[in-house]
Amino acid sequence: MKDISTVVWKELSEFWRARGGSRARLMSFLPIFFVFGVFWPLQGREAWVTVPFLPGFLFMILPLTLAGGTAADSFAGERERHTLETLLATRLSDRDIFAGKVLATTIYCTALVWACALISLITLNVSRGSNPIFWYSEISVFLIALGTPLLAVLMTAIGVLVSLRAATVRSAAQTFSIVTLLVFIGVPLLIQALPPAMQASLVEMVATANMTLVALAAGTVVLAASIALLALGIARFQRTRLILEE
Amino acid sequence: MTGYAIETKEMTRCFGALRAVDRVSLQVPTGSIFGFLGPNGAGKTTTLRLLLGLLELNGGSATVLGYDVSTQAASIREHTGVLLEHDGLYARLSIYDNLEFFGRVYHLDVRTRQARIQELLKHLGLWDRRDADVTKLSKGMKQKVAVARALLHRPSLVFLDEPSAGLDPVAAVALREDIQNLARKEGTTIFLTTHNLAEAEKICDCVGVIRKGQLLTQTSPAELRSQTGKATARIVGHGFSDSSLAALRALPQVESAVLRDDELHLELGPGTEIPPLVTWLVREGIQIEEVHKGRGSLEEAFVALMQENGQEHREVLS
Ligand SMILES: Nc1ncnc2c1ncn2[C@@H]1O[C@H](COP(=O)(O)OP(=O)(O)OP(=O)(O)O)[C@@H](O)[C@H]1O
Ligand SMILES: [Mg+2]
Repeated sequence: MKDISTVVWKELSEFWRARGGSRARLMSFLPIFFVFGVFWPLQGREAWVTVPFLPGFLFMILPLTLAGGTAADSFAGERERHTLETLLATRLSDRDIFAGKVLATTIYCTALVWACALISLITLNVSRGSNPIFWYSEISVFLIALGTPLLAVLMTAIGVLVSLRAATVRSAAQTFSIVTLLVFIGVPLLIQALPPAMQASLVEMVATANMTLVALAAGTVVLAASIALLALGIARFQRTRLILEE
Repeated sequence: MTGYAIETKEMTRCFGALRAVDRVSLQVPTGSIFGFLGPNGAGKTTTLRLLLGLLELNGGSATVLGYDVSTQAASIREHTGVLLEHDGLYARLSIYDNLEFFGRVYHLDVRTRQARIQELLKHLGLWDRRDADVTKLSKGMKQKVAVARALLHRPSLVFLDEPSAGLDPVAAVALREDIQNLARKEGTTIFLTTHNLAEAEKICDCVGVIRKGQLLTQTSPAELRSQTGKATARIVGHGFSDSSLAALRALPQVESAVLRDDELHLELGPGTEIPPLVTWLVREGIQIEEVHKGRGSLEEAFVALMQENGQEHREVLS
């Protein structure tokens, strides 16, 4: 555990320091905070209150778009910046390095979402004045609190797998975007390819289903996929193999 | 444990058909500074990676600090420090945070960590710059920080892969002295690879020469020099003529004589005495101003070793 937290400490320090001086660091988060914490809540003020899952869904965009790139930077970046071999020559075990990196990426994305959720809450309550206090619906709380880290782990796992072999962050990012594109295009195509009857029942299922159940089901799928991909990642993260791919 | 920090027997590693390390049997005495010499692509870095358990052996065996490289590599990495081909520093972190990270990796407690980082950085003259980002440092400074990192947890063995590569001569000398002082002070065994023979000659107690994956010899620098190095002399004077040069070259103890401006460069056979040669030159009517006697350098010895077939030098200490 101590070793994992050491790696996490290093990774988070790097994420943080990557953004220049401390003023520049805060500034670089401002666009994200503005869009997710101020702009959207104000734009869809009523919808945020009436559509229970909307805020939660919106926040999922962050882990979806950020985690993969962050993971690619963490794994492929270490090779590109020539620090990998020195890290592998330390007493740290393969597992601790791997776990520390995955955990750091997850913490980073989750912290960002939670910060945005908090800012949104303030924005909405301030803008609604004396109306009853706004608080996220159960489903949104579920998505923000648990969905974010889950999705971050999944995207991290994908990011790790594409970047284990990549020589540079750029090539890792390219492979990653192709993979995610395939998923985003592939799933709708797959649904379209289904026979019309099945499509109709699918639509009906989604329309009538209890959103909590859907979220739980989706969460389970994401969790299972993450575990499978992480297991694959750990199996491939071996120093004697990583060195050869320098 | 034997008196050897590193002991390999017929250690072999292939990449496809290439034998990058070919039946290398080495012994590095505990507490010594060992220089691993060889031309580009000789297998130095590969040897180092094998000893750290970063690559698997294809044959033979090796122990480092008494641990087997194939089965106990984690223990080896626990007790060694490294400076590999790249400095391996995190460019986005400050000097201090880089060392802080590695201090945590090796489970140094907060106090020990702070004291040790301060001690090393002060010794290397970098304490005042501890908060500077590594990106902002010169190559020489980075090498120093990397050396500090390698020594941070007081490992009993340190691997340095070309520590002075890319440094200017002054920085290289400074770094060499730092390494030497720190190693002596703390009784650390040092295994360093280098192309810089002058460096090896100055700090190493023992050198190994590798070429095409094969260990040609393992000996002391002085021994290596006398094995293959030639004695030389440089004579400054006037009145050299073609006939006197020809006569000089005809002498049995003179292997070569080259005149550049007013300087005569001689390569001499083993055990040649200089005074009789000077007398001989004076008799030839040459006015001599200066005589410089050179020992064969390790560099020459090295080149000679590389040019030889290598066959007779393969009887390695095994
Ligand atoms: N991962 C690898 N895959 C294939 N061949 C390799 C690999 N690593 C090294 N080699 C080959 O093994 C040989 C020895 O390489 P090595 O890096 O050990 O040489 P070196 O003595 O460190 O050279 P230099 O002085 O240039 O650093 C070279 O021919 C090199 O091409
Ligand atoms: Mg090398």
